[in-house]
Amino acid sequence: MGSADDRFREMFYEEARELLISLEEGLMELERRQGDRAHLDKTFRAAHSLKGASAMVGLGSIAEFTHGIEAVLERIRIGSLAVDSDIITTLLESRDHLAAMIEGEAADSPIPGSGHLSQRLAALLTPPKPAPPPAAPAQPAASPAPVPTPPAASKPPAPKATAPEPPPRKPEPPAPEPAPTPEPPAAEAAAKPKRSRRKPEAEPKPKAPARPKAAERKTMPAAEEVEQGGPNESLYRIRFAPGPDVLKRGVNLLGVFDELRELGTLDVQADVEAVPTLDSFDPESCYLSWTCTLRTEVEPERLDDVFLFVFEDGAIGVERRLPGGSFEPVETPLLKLPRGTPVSSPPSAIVRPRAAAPAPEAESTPGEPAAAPALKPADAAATNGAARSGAGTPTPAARPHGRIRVDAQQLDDLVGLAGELAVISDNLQGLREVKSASPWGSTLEALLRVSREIRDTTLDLRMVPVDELFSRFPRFVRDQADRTGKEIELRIVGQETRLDRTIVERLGDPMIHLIRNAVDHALEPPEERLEKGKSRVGRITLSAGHEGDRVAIKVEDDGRGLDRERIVRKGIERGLIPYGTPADDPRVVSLIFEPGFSTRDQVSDMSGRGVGLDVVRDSVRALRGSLAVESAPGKGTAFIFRLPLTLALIDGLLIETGGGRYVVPLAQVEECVALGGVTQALSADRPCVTVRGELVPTVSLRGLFGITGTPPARQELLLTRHSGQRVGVAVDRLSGRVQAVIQSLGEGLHGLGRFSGATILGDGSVSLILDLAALVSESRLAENQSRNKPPAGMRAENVR
Amino acid sequence: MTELTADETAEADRAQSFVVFRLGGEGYALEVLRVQEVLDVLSITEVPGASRSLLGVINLRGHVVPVYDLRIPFGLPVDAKPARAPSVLIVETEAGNDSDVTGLLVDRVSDVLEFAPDQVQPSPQLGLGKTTPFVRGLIRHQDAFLLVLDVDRVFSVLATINGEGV
Repeated sequence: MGSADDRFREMFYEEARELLISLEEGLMELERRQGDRAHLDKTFRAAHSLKGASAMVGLGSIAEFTHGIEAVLERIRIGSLAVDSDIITTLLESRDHLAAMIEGEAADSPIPGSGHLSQRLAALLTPPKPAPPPAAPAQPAASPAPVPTPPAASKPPAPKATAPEPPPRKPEPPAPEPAPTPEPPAAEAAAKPKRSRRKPEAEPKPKAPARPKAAERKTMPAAEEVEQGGPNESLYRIRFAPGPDVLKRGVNLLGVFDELRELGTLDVQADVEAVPTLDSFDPESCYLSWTCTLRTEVEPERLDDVFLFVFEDGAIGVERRLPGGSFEPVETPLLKLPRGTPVSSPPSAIVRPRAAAPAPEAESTPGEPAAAPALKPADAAATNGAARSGAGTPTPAARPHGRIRVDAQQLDDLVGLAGELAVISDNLQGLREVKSASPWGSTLEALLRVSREIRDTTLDLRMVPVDELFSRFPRFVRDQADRTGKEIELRIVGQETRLDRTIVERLGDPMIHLIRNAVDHALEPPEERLEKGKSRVGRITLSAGHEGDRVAIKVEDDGRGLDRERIVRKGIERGLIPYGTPADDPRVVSLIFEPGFSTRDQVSDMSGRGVGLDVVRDSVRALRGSLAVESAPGKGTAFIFRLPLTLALIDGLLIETGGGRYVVPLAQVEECVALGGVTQALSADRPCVTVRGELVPTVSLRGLFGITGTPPARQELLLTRHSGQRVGVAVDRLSGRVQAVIQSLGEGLHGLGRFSGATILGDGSVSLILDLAALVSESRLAENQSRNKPPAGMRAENVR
Repeated sequence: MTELTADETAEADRAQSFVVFRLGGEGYALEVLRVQEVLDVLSITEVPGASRSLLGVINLRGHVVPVYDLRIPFGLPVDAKPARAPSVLIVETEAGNDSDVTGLLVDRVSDVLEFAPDQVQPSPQLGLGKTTPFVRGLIRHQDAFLLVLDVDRVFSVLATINGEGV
């Protein structure tokens, strides 16, 4: 009930969403690069963190379900389960279900845990086991009824299951041991059947190399049995020295010991050597290290779970007691993680610097969300860890700058304020010109400079890498490929390009639309591609990059390309282009953006391109961008979005018409010509002029706004492009260039498409921002309607 | 939650403050809680093509705010050259939401007065002409009646007018 509790939950949901993204990315990556240890660990950690976090906020069923996922990942991690696309599919579906559960909780309408998926997860765990685990109840956790298996398989069951049997069966559990060596071949083997929906028969392959090694160890368990009371118990000595900042990161060290205690019999000894004298004592630093003796049945890998978070910021060494009483170092996947350490480990207890964890991340996809899971512990550590990293913990290799989460609304407010500040200082600039000799001239100068810098920096805060947009498509393309039975490779280029947050958010749907089109209609099925001499696998490329002051985002495929003949036929049929238009006319391609073009019978008629493309184009226009298409028959098609870097600020032209001042975005104006200098091409009521020999239809702003009175003798014509054609907009006067901070006109005025917003000019007055494209289509509409009406009729109603 | 409701009931028993203003020869009253400030209009930027009731937009300390002329929806005569400079009431569009404000043009703001809830009489169903839907009640004041404005109704009607673009 308490609001603190709510906030806690809110934080959980936020974090969970990030972890879900990370999990999905990890799974996708896992399929592509099976041998990649770092990714596997990252993915596992995402699942593990999610489990921990949900258990912490009391969402038991979510934690339980996540545990199933984690268990499968754990099996992959220790090398006893080979990745194939079926497993990934199951894991991805489980992830989706998990996402639904979490969103359900967030929306207060819990979705029950799915027994079906849990069973599928459990099934993944069982095949390599020779016998169904009879010792399932080993895990007393309240598991949902239909899923007794996953918890059992993931944790210590291996030895347990075999416990009643004679020692020779023991080779099974040590399988994890060979992880580093046999992995590459295993990965290769598994990589081949990439898309094939094969049942996990590939199973034995990765394990084959494991056998000999396991055999070497075979003797040990038997001996241990004699040494130690329990049948499968081992004695571990764990040296654990957390970094000095571990407490500041909020790690509960007692929890670590509690977890260890759950594994078996624990004895802990603290080393207080490092505790300084009182005057240099920092109560928030951890000076202690511990030596733990643990007698347990579980595999050493299980210890990873316990030390997962502490590990990043400390040193841990694990040794197992050998029959003779001496200790040998144990390497778990986590402990092995940093370098490809050879199996023969250093003689002394291993002290592992934590640089380990961040390193693989850096090498993984450079995208931002990918780094999400590491964000909380590692980042926090990076910020205050650098100064006082203790003996065993070298500073992490230059981690990227710390990040904080900011409320989007506050950010927008800040941007607004910064814009206002810039305007106010512009006003001051004007004042200064009045009294040029005033003593505060230099102060004003400084104020101007600072306020401009504040504005720029603030605008920059809104910028995010397009990767936030791109990163959701690998999964999407995978699903689409599955759905259509096509083989598709997705390439992503330039994901570090930064763009306004709002643009990135609103570009999602248009891109999904284009990608779906590409998969459904542009890319050929594998056989057809082979026939055409193309590679079997179709390719879709998403790329982003700068083009002058704009960002270009491209969705490209190497499929069929647009069928111009058909588009022309269709266009003529619908009266959009004149009869006899050749297929190479530049107008042809723009036809696919016509509303409703080819929505019906499209699939057979023109390979479906153009379905709702007008909607895509409109949404890009709303972002003050443009959409272009390039296509070569048989080679493929590219859709190119060209977008402004930011939505908050535009370069504009200040114009005047009939006493009113308006701003026209510079990006919409190709050229300005004096109307006096051009000749009226046709009679007066057909407003066309010739500009350097080209016939250009014109729209009069006075006419559209219903302004009476005589225009000045010398009007200006703004040339813009509309549906690939040049159109002129006549205005009274050009008054110069302005930088405008755009403000929305508010909901009440949404109906007025001709204005894309308003801005406050240097003198404090409000000026409306014209949308030339909307103005032109409006006048076109008015023209069409006036065919049935007296010319002035329709406009008159709209005019005050 | 329950406490809050109790507070609200208590609030309802107490006297409420109203901004009293003149518009087209009538006296109006509007809860002071909904009024952010009263401005003297300096310059209004016209919005060509908008509804007639939208006078234009103004710069309210860096924010672009629309200003409406209530005389059009109220069916009051609009004199082209008003005798004195009109005032603009900056009104919160939704109760308790200070981020969204709208300007309403009035002839003159005269007072801020307190009235007890029982001083507000229900408005008659007939006889108020076009203003009927916008009037929540009547207050007898100085031998005349003040029309208590229902601003939420006003805004919802203005929104539909805008939607139609007339």
